[in-house]
Amino acid sequence: MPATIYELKTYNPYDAYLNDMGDNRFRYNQFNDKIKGLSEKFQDFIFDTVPADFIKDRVSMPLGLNQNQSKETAKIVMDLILSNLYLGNIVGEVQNRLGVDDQKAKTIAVLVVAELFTPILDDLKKMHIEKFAKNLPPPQIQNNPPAVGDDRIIDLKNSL
Amino acid sequence: MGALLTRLLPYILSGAALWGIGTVVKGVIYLAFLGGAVYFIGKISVFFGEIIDSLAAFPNFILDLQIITSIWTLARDFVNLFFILILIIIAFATIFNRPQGYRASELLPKLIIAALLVNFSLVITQTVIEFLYTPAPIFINGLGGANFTGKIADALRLHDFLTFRNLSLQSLSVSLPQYLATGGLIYILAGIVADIVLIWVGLILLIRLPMLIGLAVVSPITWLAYSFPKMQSFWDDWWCKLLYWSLIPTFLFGVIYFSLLINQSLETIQISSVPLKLIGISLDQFIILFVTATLLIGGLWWVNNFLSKTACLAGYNLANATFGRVRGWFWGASGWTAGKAARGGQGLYKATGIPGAAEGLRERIAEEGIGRLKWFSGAERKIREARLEDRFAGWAGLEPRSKAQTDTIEQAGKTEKDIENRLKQARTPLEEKELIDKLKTAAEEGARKGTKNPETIAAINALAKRGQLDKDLFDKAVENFKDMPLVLSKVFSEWKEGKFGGISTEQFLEIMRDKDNKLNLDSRRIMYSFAASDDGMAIARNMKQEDFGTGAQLLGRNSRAGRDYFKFWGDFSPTYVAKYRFDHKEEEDSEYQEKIETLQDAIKAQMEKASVKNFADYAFKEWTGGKSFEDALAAILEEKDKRGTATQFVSELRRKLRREGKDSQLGVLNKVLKVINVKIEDREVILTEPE
Repeated sequence: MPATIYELKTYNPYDAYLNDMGDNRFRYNQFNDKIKGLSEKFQDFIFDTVPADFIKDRVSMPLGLNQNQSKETAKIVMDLILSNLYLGNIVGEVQNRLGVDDQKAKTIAVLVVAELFTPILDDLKKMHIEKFAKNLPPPQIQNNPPAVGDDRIIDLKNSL
Repeated sequence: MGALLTRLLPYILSGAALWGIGTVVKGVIYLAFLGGAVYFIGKISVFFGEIIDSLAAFPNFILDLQIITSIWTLARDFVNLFFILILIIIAFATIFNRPQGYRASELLPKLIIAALLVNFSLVITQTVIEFLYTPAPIFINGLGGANFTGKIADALRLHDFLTFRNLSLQSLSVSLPQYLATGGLIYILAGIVADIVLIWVGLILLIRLPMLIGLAVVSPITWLAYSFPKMQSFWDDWWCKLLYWSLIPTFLFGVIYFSLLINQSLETIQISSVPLKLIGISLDQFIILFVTATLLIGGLWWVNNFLSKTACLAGYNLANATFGRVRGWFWGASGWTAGKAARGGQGLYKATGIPGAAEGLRERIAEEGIGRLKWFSGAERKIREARLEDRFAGWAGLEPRSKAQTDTIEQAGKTEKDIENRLKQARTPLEEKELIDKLKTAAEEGARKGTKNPETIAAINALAKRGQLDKDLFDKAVENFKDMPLVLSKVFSEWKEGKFGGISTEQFLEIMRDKDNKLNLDSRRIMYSFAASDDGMAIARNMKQEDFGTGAQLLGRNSRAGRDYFKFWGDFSPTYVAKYRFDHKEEEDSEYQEKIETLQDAIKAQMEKASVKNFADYAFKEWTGGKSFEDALAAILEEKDKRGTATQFVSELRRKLRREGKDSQLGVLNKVLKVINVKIEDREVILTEPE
């Protein structure tokens, strides 16, 4: 069932963000400028009904998230698109901000990344690599690199 | 006079006995005045009566005088010399292509006709005069032959005043001096009316003779004028005068005849046969007197007024139609020759590259075809003719017909086409600019001098079409053509094509608002229509609610332009349309009247069927204009929300606004959504609050 106007501030990443900034004009302009800086593909994604409906029908309701958790999920989605948040840290971020357990956080992250972001994932990854590459710690040489299936790793390759 | 005094003497004597010597003296003075007036009026009547009677019997005898033929022969020979001179002028004009209007193609046919007919000019003049006098004897005979002046006196009851029929001072209860003072005065007035009629008719018949002589002897010069453009007005005037002086006897006698006929029929009226106090005649007789006097004076006035204008027009049309046709035959016969000449001209042009007269002719043939080739002088004459017709319509109390203007516009259209062709041939922007500057100078010069010829109009139209008409030049043009609204309309339609270039948005609005009422409605309609188009978007953005209202009133809703206007504004600024419709609710259908109770309802109704694209296309000021729009948008979104389509709509609208860079509109939409959320929250709080 499609979200209603009232539900937008909870499930729609764009509205959740807006709602959070209240009447702060400066923050609104900053937010608006960031969106304007995105490619048309991202903008179309943000202003589509898909994210809100997905978060509502595929994440919040099946996983029993409350309004705040749902809203945080929407905001995380927006943060990822705006590159405020690194895609690789999504599980930890969900866990922290939603206050859910590791398993639930991983499920949410997989749903978001592997399903919701499908149409924009390649572009998103490219954008994140460009933005976060220099800030990321150099890769640690491990004798035994964590295998897929390790709880800390999302198998993006196979999830797609 | 003696008889009158004999009749009045008993009264004077009885008056002397009754009222005393003083009264008698006064009576004698009155009588002396009355007698003098009667004598004077009578003499005038007799004098002019004899003139009229004589001239009615021998109307055109003067035309048969040998001296007229002699003078006419001299004039004809003199004019024949000029034909040779005109041939030389034509030759030079054809070679050098100037002055305009003197080329062989334009003048030769007329010249040949004129050279032939100049020899028959006296016969033509005499025939016209005789022919147009033909109906006059019908009226003269109807009036009892060439001695009808007595009938006019009878009709004006002049005899009744002197016979004192049924007069009894006792029955009138007035004194004799009183009667003489008033009744006598009326008699004098009636006498004056009779005299005016006779003097009027007599003088006209007298003046007619030298006028006809003059017209006959100068008739050869008239034919010269026919073939010479600069003397065209002489030709027109001559025909005008010939017809006037030939027709006027018929009209004058006709008016007198019908006035007396009506006078006779009025004899049967019987309202009151009792003599009125102070006047001495009955009401019946007074009415007859009044009506007859009015008919005579009014009729003669009308004849003079009507004929002086109609004769000009009729003469003008008759002459031009007749001789224009003759010229047409001439050209029909010489079409083949003209075609040859044109082809020859084309060859000459190709060989020399000089666009001379022959080339000009070739271009015109190529443009219009040899069969429909119209000559400039002919077109000009048409315009003059139409102007005369318009003037006549004005005199007749009708609105002037638009023929003169349309003909002027038509002629200007051809010149404008030439200008366009010249502009198209410009090889550099500088050359084009020079041409445009020349046009501006020509238009300014024409406007300054008040010239309303096709060339001035063409220059203004060409500038307008190119979007080069600035406000100053436009103001001058409006001042110049304020009495030619169709010309203004044409300027505006050309200007519309030029997207009203040359003026700023503010100037456009100032002209469109037309606070000084200088423009005709059609011109203003053109402006309002332009403002309600994609090209006029900048204007529309600056229009106010009252501007929209004026446009709506001017264009109406039933015309195509009106429907387009409402459609545009409905898509551009729905609140303007909604406010207008709400204020003019009586013009709406019953469904609207029932459904719409508040202005808010009207605005919402105006926008509720709008698509995402419609909303995105609404004017900036519409979105940012304030509460009315926001409330309506909120109401529409809430309704959509109930149907489950709101988020889809919002999503598409946001995407469109974002893509089109309409951040302010996006901000308004977000604000409206926030307001809706607050409302829902308030509602939920109320619903969940414990009682």
